This record gives sequence, C-alpha cells and structure tokens, in this order.
Amino acid sequence: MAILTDEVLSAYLDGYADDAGRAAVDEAMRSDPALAERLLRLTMHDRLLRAAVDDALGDIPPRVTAAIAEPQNKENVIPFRPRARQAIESRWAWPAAVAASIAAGLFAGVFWQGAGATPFMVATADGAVVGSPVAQALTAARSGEIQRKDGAAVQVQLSFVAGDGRLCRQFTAAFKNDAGAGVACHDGRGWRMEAWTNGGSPAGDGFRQASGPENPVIAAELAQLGVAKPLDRAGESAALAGGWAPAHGR
Amino acid sequence: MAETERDLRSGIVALLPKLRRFAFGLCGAAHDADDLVQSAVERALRNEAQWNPGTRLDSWMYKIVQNLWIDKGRQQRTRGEAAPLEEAMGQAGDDARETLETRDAAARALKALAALSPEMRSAATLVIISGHSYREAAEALDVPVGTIMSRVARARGALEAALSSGDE
Repeated sequence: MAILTDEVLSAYLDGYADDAGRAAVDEAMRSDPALAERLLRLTMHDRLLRAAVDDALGDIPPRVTAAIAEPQNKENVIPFRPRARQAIESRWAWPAAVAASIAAGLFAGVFWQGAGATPFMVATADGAVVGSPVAQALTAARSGEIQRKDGAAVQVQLSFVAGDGRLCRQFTAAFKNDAGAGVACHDGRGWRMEAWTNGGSPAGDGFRQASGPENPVIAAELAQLGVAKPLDRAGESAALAGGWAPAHGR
Repeated sequence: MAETERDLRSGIVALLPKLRRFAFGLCGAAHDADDLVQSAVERALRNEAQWNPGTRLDSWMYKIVQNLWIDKGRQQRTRGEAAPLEEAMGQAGDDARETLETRDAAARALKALAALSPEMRSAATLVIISGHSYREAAEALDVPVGTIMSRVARARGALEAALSSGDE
C-alpha cells in the first residue's frame, strides 16, 4: 500500500495522484474519518487562499484593460464594483465589508437620456438594475429576442451559470443615440450589473451588437465570473420560470 | 487590425484574472501585481510576432510576467509581506464582528503565501489558485512535473500550519 505522504494527499486533491495513490487515499478515507476531515480542511484552505488573493487583487484596474484595448477603440468603460459577490463571499463567511466599502461612492449610476423619450437608469451606483427596460429584459426575455420598451432595445446574448453559482446574462442595449453592453447577475433578490461599457452608436434598427463578448471589458468580466455552464434553451426556460434564483446544486 | 493581433488581445483579456493572480503570487501586493501585468501586456503586444498562435498563450504570458519580475530586481521579491494585508484590512468596515475570524484567516493565508519561497509561491498560485494542471504549471515555469508536485504539497503544508494554528 502506498504511503500517504503529504505529497500524495496534495496530488490527490489536484487529481494528479497515480492509480495506486488514489486507491490508497480512497481506502484510507473510508476507515479514517480524521483523514477525510483533513482533506476537506485542505480543500477549504485552498478556497480561502483563492478568495483572499482575489479579494486582495480586487477588480481589474482600467489601466490594465486600457493596455489591451485596441488603440482606436475608445469606449466609455464603467467598471462596477461587484457588490453582488457579497452573497458568495458570505457563503465562505468572507468579509463582505471589504468589498462593500470599496464599492461605496465609486460610481454614480448609468443614465440614458434622449430628447423626447423619458430617460431611464440602466443601473444605480451600487450596480442594482431595477425598473428599467434592461431589468425587464433580463428577467423576462429569451436569449436572442429583442425587447423594445420606452424607446430602448435590449437583447440578451448569453445566459450562464457563473463559477459562484449565480445565474448571469450578457446583453446589449440601445437607447436613442447610445448603445452599450453589459453583464448582470441575479443574486436571488435582484439583478446586479457586474460590468457595463457604453460606446458606439446604434445601428439603423436602433440596435447594435458590436459590443458583445468580444469587447475587452465584457470578455474580462466573463472570464472573472467564470462561465461555469452556458444555459441551453431548456436551462434558460427553467431559469425564467424560477425567477433566476442562484443555481446552487443545479 | 490583423486577425492574429485581435486573437492575441482577446486571448490576453481572458487570461487577465490568472495573470494577476500569478503576478500577485510573485510580488505579493496588488498594486505591484497590476504594474507587472500591465508591463507584461505591453511587452506581449510589442512582441506579438514572437507568439506562435498554435502554442499555449498562457505559458507564453506567464513567462513574460516572470521575466519582467526577475528584471525588476530583488527589491520587489522581499516586499509586500505585510503591505497587502494592511491594505486589505484597512479597507474593511467595522460593522462585521463575525467576519473578523475569516478576515484573520484570510490574512494568515496571505501571510503564509508571502512567507513561501518565490518558487513555491509561483507553483502554488498556478495550481491552487488558478487551477492549472501540474503539467501546465511545469511548462510555464520550466521545471519537471515532480517539482511542481512537491512545491504545491509544501505550499499546502505551510498553509495548513498557518491556518490550523488558529482553528482552536
């Protein structure tokens, strides 16, 4: 029987133990609850370290995204502090106050204002998406469908389960002469904007698709959220029916 | 803009979270990590021709980050053991007594990471934090798989020692 060195246990956690090592760890865990507990603890330590590092890093600073952005493509990029992450962080019993305190006062919300039609707010300062055509489309529209309301056109392009279990949607929207793209996640209570970029002008049909997942800001946010599982049509139907509650164990 | 350059840019964007963690693992402070990533991105785009689109972009980028970090010299290697913790702790609100314990645990996890050798830190960030396989980490760091395996195990041991001592 293989000797259960720390190296074997560590390789086991990473799925890198050889057959003998894996079998030995499986066998030992059956008879030794303390070992099983230790492995669980080690897994928790890994997660804690990951969360600690990600929290220390915070959001990708604009100077880094700007270094990648195509030089001629000067879009108005609005990074949202991900307050909705508090929900996940508290699952880890992670200090939500850290994220919340950075979020405060960073950003005054996104308004769209056109002559004639009533202006509406895409998202508030803390990222909440409420009562706008965007909120309505996020809650009720299928991917691909273009929803028009109060002079705005919104199209969801992708629904997915994020790495933390929240259900998220990537969308584009157009209002008067403005167009933009965003990613929003539902935290069980409502939609929160995770990223938003405002730029370009709408196409002739009042809708512009140019700023989708290929936009660096959106792509970075998708990468950061971790698209654990894109929803297919059936998955999206279930989410629509279920009010977009986070998909733990889905 | 050439197709390759566009591919390169979007590839780098997707890699940003991992590059930042890796850089953080090397230099131990968020601001320094972002300086490093920013320089690496600029260097990569300047030297686009050196990237062969058929090969792994992440390995190439990790190497650029690592080389820049080495270029930047010794002073950054020892810096940042306390700084990122103070920075993170200083921003915490005072309303969350129940989070003190986890803040403490997070602080100890970061401290344990900072106390490791740069070699162990870079292996630990690639495997434990960013979820790379041993093989990918070995390729990025130019060491054998067995070396990654033992560095990751030792990093976990240090983490366990740092976190278990406060469990009681």
